[in-house]
Amino acid sequence: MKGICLLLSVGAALLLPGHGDAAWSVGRTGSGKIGSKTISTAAPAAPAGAVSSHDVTVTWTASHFADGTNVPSYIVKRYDAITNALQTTLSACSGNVGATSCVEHAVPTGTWKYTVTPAAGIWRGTESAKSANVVVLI
Amino acid sequence: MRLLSAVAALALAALLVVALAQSGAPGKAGPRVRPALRVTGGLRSLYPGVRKRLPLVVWSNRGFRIRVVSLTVRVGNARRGCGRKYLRVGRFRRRLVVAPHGFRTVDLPVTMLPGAPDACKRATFPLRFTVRGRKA
Repeated sequence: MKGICLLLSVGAALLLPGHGDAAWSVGRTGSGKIGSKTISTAAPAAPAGAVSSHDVTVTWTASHFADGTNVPSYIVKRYDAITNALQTTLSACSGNVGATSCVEHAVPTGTWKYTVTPAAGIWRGTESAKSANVVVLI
Repeated sequence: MRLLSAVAALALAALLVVALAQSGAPGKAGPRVRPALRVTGGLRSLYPGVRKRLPLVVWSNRGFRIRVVSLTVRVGNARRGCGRKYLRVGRFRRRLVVAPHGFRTVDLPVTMLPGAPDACKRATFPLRFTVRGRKA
């Protein structure tokens, strides 16, 4: 009789929840989702350029994701105003520019046009129209 | 004596059934019960290269404090060309105790890799949460 009582006590202690601190796995316990943005397809307004000797300050208005927030960066391009040939953009307008203006230093003599393209990582938005002519004199 | 033994065996069997039912162990036979912990959460503002916090809420429906011992997030593919490989979700590392019938918030770092292609624009990655707890 004592043995049976002992057996029952031990069984209860081991099996009843709330006793001890055994971890339990509850399998899949919820779901959710992560969504991503997209860059608005509207082309940005044409940038403006201001010359100071061989430095050109390029400014433009912010572009947005489809949800209305600003895109994190822009690609600035410079074209020959006569031939439309794409030039290599110089520091500090090269690469992804994380602002709405930049100063391109040591721009060669010539007549140039600028564009900006919204960027987020490797995503690209629509390239803007070309700026007015920017003339860099000797 | 045999009768007592049979009664004892039956009682143990009953205890086993109750224990299994309340443990919430998946895949086991027995009455279906709600999991002790539930996780909800999400985010909808990622783009390549950005690092954000994924806010999660851990809910308890038990009448005692539960210490969360693990919380994992499984990311599914968003769509063709935009697989889960473009998303990184950090690990749950902190100590977290959920009050009886309460909830706690926790956030995990999440990053969309800079190389995420255009297929990942306006995409939705499904998440599956798995949480393990221990009575605190």
